Amino acid sequence: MAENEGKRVDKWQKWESFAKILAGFSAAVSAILIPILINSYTEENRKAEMYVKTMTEREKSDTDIRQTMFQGLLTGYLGAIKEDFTKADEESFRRRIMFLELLTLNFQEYFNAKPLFEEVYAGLERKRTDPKASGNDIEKWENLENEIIRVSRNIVSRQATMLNSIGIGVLININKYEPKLDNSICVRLYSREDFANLKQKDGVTVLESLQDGGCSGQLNDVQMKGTQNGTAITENAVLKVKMKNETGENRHQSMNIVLKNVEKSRITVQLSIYDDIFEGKVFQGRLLNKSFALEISVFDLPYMDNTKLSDGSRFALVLKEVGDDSAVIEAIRFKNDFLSLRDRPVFEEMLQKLQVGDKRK
Amino acid sequence: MRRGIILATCLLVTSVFIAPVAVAAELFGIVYSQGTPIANLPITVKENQQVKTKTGPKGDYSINLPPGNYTLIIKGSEIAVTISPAGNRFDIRL
Repeated sequence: MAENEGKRVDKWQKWESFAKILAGFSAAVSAILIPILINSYTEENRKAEMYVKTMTEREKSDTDIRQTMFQGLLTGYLGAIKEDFTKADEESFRRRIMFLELLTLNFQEYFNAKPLFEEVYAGLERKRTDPKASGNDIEKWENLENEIIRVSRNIVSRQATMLNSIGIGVLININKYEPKLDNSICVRLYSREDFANLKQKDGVTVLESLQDGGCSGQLNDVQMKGTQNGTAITENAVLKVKMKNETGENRHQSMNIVLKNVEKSRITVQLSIYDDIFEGKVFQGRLLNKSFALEISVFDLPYMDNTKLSDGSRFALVLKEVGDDSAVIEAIRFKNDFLSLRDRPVFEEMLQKLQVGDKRK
Repeated sequence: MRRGIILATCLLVTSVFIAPVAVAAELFGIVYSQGTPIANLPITVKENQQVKTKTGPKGDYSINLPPGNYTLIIKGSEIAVTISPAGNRFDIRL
């Protein structure tokens, strides 16, 4: 019995020794690791704070510079108008065109200069069509008209290129509407993914961005499927209800364009917006959403002059060329949350830095 | 003599049917306006105004004509093209 007691004591002594060694080891490791972890966490926080502070300072400086620039340019432009109000000669128009170009190139995301462009163009038109104007004068004013159109087209082209890089655009020639020819054109305002995945009614044929002869396939209540409980059920009524109940994913839109009138700096079109209905990925038909007349000017800037679609995206119509009875327009569809390149790298860069910091933790 | 007349008549009738039946070849391509394909643009053949087409959604066009030299009319501009017997591609840059 004494022997057993002795053995038990030995066992407990061994465990006690082991525990003491383990405690000592743990204390040593903790003493090393905890400061390292705290230091690392503090360093990451410090870097993030420094980065945010630097970006904030940079944004503030950028804003201050731009504010000064904008005030200077706008004051210069308005001053030029005031000064040249009585003169309104070639030089004064050239100066105004120059100010407009500077304003729009530098502040195109914030400033819609279309009314200013149109004001200058209207002034040039009045000069050109003045009965007292000589042949040389008419040529001079016409050259200035072409100059302001060129300036606007240059800016519009840059904006269109930018929007095309984040959206999808199609360049279309449209002729003045002739009922006999039914030469209206239907443009599908879908995303690139939609064009890759969605199909015609046969479930096989891919959808193209354009449909000749207008937006056909409009649903109506004429087709009768039968009756149920004394109520007529139409195939299209079922789809119509489905269309109204669903939001977002199954909603796509098409636009029917009819060219009504053509002038040197603008065209008038009749637009009809349709909601295209899909059963899964297969086209079923379309419902007219709204129809309206629209004037598209060479001075329309797509950053500012665009329309929101029911799925949250936007589209812009850019007037590229004008012919006798035809015009070339570009229809661009892009996401609603578009930010200009000037802003985007700042946000993205900041987020990436913060995310890299999170991953290291 | 009689045999000769019959032979000549046969040859004449055959040539009347064979000669005009030249095999049409395809001229196809894409029409670009300032570097971008342009859709729904009318194209007419000057030598035969009945032959006309329009560019498709991707600016693509296709015309079938007997091989030879032709002039396409696009937006008032005349563009000389040659259609080879096997057909050929011709992209147009306006």
